[in-house]
Amino acid sequence: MSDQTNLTNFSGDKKAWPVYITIGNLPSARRNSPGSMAVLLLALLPIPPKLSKSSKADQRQRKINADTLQDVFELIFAPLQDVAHTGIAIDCADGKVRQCFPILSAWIADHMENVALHGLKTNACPKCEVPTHELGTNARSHRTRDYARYQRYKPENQNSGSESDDDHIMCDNLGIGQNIFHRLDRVSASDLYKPDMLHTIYLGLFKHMMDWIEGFLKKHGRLQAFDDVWKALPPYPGFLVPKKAYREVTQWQGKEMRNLGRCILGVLAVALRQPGGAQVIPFKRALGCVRALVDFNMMAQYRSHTSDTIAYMEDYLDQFHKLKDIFLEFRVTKRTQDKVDKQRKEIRRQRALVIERVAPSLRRRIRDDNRQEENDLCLDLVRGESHFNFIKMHLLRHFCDHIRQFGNIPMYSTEIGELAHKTQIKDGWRQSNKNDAVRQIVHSYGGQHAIRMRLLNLESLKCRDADVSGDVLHDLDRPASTVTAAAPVVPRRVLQGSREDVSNVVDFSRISGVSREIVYRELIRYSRHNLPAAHRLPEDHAILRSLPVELLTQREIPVLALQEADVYEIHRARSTGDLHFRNQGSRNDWVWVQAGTEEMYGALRGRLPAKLVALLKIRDYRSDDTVRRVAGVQILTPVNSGRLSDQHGLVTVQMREDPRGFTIVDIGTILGLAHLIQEEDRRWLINSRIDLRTFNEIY
Amino acid sequence: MPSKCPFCRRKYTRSGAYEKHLRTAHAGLDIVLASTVQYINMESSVSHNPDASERQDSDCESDPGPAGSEPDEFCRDIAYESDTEVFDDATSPSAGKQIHYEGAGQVIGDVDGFEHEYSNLCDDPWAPFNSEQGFKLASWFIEGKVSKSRINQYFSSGLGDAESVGYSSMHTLENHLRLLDPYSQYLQWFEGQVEDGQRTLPFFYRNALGCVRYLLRQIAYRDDLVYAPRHEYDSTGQRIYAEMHTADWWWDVQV
Repeated sequence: MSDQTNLTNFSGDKKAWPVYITIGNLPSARRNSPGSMAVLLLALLPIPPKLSKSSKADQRQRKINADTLQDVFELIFAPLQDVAHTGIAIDCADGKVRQCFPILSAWIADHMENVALHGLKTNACPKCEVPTHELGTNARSHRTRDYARYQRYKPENQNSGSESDDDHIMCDNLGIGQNIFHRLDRVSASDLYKPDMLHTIYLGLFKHMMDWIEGFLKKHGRLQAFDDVWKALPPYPGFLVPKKAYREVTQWQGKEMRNLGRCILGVLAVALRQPGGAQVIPFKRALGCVRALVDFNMMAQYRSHTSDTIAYMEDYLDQFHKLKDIFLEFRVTKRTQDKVDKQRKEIRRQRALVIERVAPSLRRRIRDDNRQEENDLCLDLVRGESHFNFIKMHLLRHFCDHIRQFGNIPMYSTEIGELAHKTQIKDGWRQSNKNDAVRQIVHSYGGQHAIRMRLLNLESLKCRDADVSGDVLHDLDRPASTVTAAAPVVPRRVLQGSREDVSNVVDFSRISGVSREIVYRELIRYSRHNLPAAHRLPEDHAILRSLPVELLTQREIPVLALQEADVYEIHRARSTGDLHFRNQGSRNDWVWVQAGTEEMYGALRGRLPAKLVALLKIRDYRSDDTVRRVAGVQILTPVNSGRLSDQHGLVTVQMREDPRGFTIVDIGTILGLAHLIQEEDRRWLINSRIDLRTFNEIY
Repeated sequence: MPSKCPFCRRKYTRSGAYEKHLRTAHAGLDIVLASTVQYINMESSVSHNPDASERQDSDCESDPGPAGSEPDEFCRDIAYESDTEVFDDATSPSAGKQIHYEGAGQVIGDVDGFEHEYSNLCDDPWAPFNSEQGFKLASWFIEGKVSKSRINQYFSSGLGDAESVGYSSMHTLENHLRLLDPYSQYLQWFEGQVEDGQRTLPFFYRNALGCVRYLLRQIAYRDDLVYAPRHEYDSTGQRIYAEMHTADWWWDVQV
C-alpha cells in the first residue's frame, strides 16, 4: 500500500499551496488521467511571504516559518503515522476487506519545493550528499542522505561549531529548518524525491542546451541555417510545427520544449552539415552530446523498462557527460565575463607598449598574432572558470535507480498536479467572491466531484453487467475529459475526402502530373505482384482507362502506441495534391511503406519513407465490382544502405532521379506517418526522435 | 499492418506465414504457456479462497513487531529462488512471467453491506435524486458552472419543473449533492490555524487516511486496483520495470 502526494504552487497574484494525494494501487495511466478523479486535494496551505536573505529579523522569521511548516505537515500526516506499522483494515472496491499499510512513497514537486521541504540549500540534491563542485560530474557513489542523522547532529553544531570533517561535509548544503518527512515511520525521506521530466529535462537541461547550441551556432556561423531548417519542419501527429524562427521565440513552455526535444537532433544535424576542415571535430562532438541527451530523454519516457533499457540510459548519460565539454565555453557567467574583459584589457595595454617599438611594417603581422594569442588566452580562462555544476545536471544521475525502485518516470511528472489545479483550485477561485476564497475553493469542488464519481461508478457497473438501468448513460452529457477505455480503433472509413474532379485514370493523370503510361504500368505491376490471378486488374490500357477511379485526400492509419496493447494513435496521412490544406500550402505527407523484409535497408528494417502522392479507389467492374484501394507514392531510397550516421545517428534518404519514382502500393503497406527533415535538394534526414515508436524501431 | 510475433522479433504480413512461424519456431511454447497459465490460476485461486487467506493473515497478526520481519525475509528468499529459475528458462523462449509477493494483498473479509449497496446502485442509479432528469439537470448546472443566483432564478421564474427534478432551489440541490456521495465523510475538511509570529492564517486539510479509504472504495477503480507487488518478466526472462507495483520499492516495503 502506498501513497503519493503532489505539490505545486499556482501563480497569479493570489497564491495557494495545494497538496494532493492519490494512491499507488492504481495503474499510472488511470491514476493520472484527469477524468479518473483519482487525485484528491489533501490540503490547502497559505504561502509564507518571501523574505530577504540579509536581515536578521527575517532570518528569525524564516526559522519560525520552517517550524510552522513542520507542525502543519505533522498534523496532516498524523493519521498515516499511526497505521504505518500496524496496518488498518480498509474496505476495497471489490467488496473485500484488506489489511492495508498506507505509506508515503513519493513526493512530487519541483526542485525548489523539494529543497524547502527537505530543509536543504538550493544547490543540494535531496537524494544524496553530492558536494556542489561535483554536480556537473558523472560520479555516482555518493552517500544517500540520512535525514534522521542530520537531525541529531544539528543542535550540536549550532551550539559548539566544532564538528569533525566528515560531519561538516554532511551538514554542508543544509538549510534552515528540518526535513518535514524525517519523523514519518517507514518512510525514507531521501526516497521521496522523484525525478521530474518537466523541470529537470524540458525546462531544465533542454533549455540550457539550447543556450549552448545557440552560442555554438553563432561561433560557427550556422545560426541562419538552423533557423531556416527550424521554420521548415513538416507536421507530425502530436507535434506542433514551429511557426517562428528559433531566435524569435522569447518564452518557452514545457510542451514546446518537449516538441523541441523531438526534432532538435535532426535540425541541428542539418544545420551543421558539410563542416569546414577545422569544424569537423567540434561538430561531431556537439552532435554526439545533443544526441546522447535526446536519447536519454526518449528512453526516460518509456512506460516499461528492462535491465537493457536502463543500461542504455546509463550509457547515454555517460556519453553525454563525456562530450559535454564541447559546450563548456558557452556556460559563461557574468563574473567570468568580467574577468575575461579585464584580462583582455590588460593584455592589450601591454601589447600597446610593445608594439610602439616595432617598425610599422611589422605591426600588422604582430597584431594578427597577438589577436590569436589573446583569444586563446581568453578561451582558456573561460574554460577554466566555467563549469557544469548545477543541480539539474546532477539529478539525471538518479533516473535509472529510480526506475528500478519505483517504475517508469513519466508517471511521476509534475504535470499531473497542474491538471488538478485547473479543476480543483482555479475554477473554485474563479467562482468564489474572492472574499475568504480558500474556504470557498475548498467547498466548491465537492458537488462536482460527487457527480463525476457517481458517473464513473455507474459506468464501471455498466461495463460489468448490462442489466443496470444505465443504458441512458452514453448519451448523457458527460464531462468531456472522462476517459473511455481506448478500444481498438476500427476506423469507419479509412479513406476520406473524395475529390470530385477525378473519375478515371485519365483525370488522375492530368491532375497529378504523372504521365498516363506510368500510371498504367504501375497499376499493372501492382496487380501482378499483389493480387490473386483471378482478380487482377485488366492489363489492357483501354479497359484500365475506363475503370471508375476515386481520388481521396486522407487516410487514417491506426498505429499501435509503444508498449501498449490496446491503445492506438490515429495518424492521418494527407495527400491533397495541389489543393490547399486549411488555407495553407498543399500537403503531401511523408509515410512509411513496408517495402521489403526486416533484413533490408539497414536500420530501417524493411521500411522506406515515401511521399504520399495520391490515394485511389479503383472499382473493377469486371470482377464483382471489387474495390482496390491503392496509394501512389514516391519512394525514397536510403543512402549508405540505411546505416545510421556515426555523426548524428540518423538515416539519410534521397529521392531517385529517374521518373520511375511514382509507385503504386496497396494502402495496407502504409504503416504510418514519417517525419523527415530536408537536408538539401532531394535529400532528407529521417527524424527518428519524433516519437517513441519510431525511436524504438530505428536504431 | 504486419503482426509481430510476441515471442521473437519477427514480423509477418500474411497470416499463413505467421502461423507457420509459430508452429515451427516456437513449437515448445504451447507447453510452457500452458504451465504458466496453470501457475497463475493456482495463485489466484489461493488468494480468492477466503478460508485459507484468513488463516494466513491471522498468523501474521499474531506475531507483530520484530518477529514480523521474518516472513518478509522468507518471502524474499523465495523470490530470489524463483529469479534463478526464470534465468534458467531464459535460454528457451517463454512468455512473460510474473512472480507474486506471497501473502500480500490478501482478502481478510467481506465488506458489510457491500452487496446491498451494489444492488442499490444498480436499482436506483440516480439516488438521492428522484429521477434521471433531476441528476442530469444538476450535473448540467454544476459542470456548466451556473452560479447559485442563476439556479435560484431558474426555478423561481418557472423555467424548470421542480416537481419532476425533485429540488427547487440551490439550497435543496446542495442537500441532494451532499447525499450523492456515500463516502463523503472520508473527504471531510478540517480547518487549522497557522501562526507565523505576525499573523494567524487559516488552512484546510483532509484526513489523509480518509482519502486513501475513499479512493480504494470507489467501484470505478475496481478493475484497475492492484493490491500486491509483483515481479514481471518479459519473454527473454528480463525483469520489467513499469508500474509502481512491478518495481522494487513496493516489494521491499511490503510486510
